[in-house]
Amino acid sequence: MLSGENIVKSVSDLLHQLYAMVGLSAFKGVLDPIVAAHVMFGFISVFVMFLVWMERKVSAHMQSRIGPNRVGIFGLLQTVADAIKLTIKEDIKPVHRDKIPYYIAPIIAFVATFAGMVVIPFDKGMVVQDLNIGLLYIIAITSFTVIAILSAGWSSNNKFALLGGFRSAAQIVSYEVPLVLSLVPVIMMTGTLRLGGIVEYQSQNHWFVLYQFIAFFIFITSATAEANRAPFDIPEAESELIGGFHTEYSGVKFAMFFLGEYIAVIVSSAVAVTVFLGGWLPPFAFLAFVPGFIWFMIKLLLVIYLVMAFRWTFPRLRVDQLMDFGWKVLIPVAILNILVTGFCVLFFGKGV
Amino acid sequence: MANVLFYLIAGVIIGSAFLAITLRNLFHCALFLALTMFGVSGIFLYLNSEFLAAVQVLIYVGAVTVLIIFGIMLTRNVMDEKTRVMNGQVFLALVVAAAMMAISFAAMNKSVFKTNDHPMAAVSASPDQSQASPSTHTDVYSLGPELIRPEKGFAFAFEFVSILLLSALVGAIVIARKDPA
Repeated sequence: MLSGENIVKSVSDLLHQLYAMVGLSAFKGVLDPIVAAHVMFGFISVFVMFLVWMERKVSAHMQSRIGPNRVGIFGLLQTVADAIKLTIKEDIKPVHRDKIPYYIAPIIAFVATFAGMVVIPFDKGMVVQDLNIGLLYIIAITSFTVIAILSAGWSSNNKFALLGGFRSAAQIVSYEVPLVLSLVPVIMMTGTLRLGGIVEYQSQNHWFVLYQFIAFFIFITSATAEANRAPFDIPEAESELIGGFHTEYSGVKFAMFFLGEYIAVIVSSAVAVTVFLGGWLPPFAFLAFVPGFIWFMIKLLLVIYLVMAFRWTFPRLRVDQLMDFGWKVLIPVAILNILVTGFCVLFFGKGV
Repeated sequence: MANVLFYLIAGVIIGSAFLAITLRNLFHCALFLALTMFGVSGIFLYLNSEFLAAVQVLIYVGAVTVLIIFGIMLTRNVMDEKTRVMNGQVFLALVVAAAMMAISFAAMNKSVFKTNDHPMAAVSASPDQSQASPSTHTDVYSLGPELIRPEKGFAFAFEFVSILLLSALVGAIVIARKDPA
């Protein structure tokens, strides 16, 4: 039967045979993660290119335009062409930059979000490493992006970049709080931080979006804000700040930030799918013949579509509105949600 | 092999900690502080404490260092490279640091390190202590009850820290608040 677990198993068998052929069997503990990282990188880069195309098509539909339609069928190769352009572009650097932070900022921005993909379970057993502390790991490792953004803003030696970096860091730090708090009720009900475990809990009960709709709403909102996307895109509000923290970056370095931003969208949407929408589970039992990773991708694309629809339908928030919304609305609601869930778990024994 | 990894991480921690206190550019100091904290989380991982490692990164890299960077950028001329490395409190700071080191050493000497059979954890205990408990994987499941179960005696400390943090929060709000007209 075609399932994620079988695919992973046959691929890893094939790999181990390959290692044995070239006499590297002893290093399979080291080689396996390297191969997994490359597979994930390949998947992610193609998926991001597709998402950029999708974003342009979605925005075009919302604005009664056609969108990219020249390169390839439906313009599908447009982003491939754009990516090639970005990589061969001249790398323009400010003379008075702070050299080392300027170089490492895009790398950290990319690695921090990309590392989050490690624990995403695409299907039962189709995961690079289903860590015990999966959910916490994602939250922790993605917090490096703040440092990347501050470094980028500061080392560019540019007023707008610095302002953008500040705004962005303030926003990410603020919205990280409701983001984490919205996940706490789910952890209280399942009693595990392992993403695979959370999906398994949902296979015995209903999907969490039914129990925890408020938490789902808070999560999606804060995740959109964390990824610096409209309507929360004041860090790079073009009309005020040129390009925000990446104003002075071009070519491959800019591409790294761009890639990091889209990976952040993918990771947070994937967490939303895993935690609230049942991960690889089919919506109805009779649809179980469709492999789990296909369900996962369908749900992932739907959530990403939702996030894109936010971007093209809502106006941008002002800085003070943004902070007010995060601190005075989302955080109290999230804490109340934790309290109510705590009482429910205590009195009805749900899940524990 | 495992020892090499330990010395590598420890070297990164010591090196970046030294740079964090000696560099003249405060922003670079903050970045090296972040690297130091990340290295400490590496040590936690090495000792099979994934939870502590994740929390270390989340709090010290994601929050504390970011706040320090904010503080540096908002209070000083960031492009001014002529920051003094020492100030008048250097000797007091040395005394405090030495006292902290003595306390942590005393605490480390007193506590019994329970290790599991994982080879990576072998360095954390001297041979005579290693058979104290065959498997004590410090995961979240064992950590939670340890903290709040009354008979363990950590409940008081846990609540005490909560109150300390709460009062710090209230204090921060009082300081940051605009003066009532």
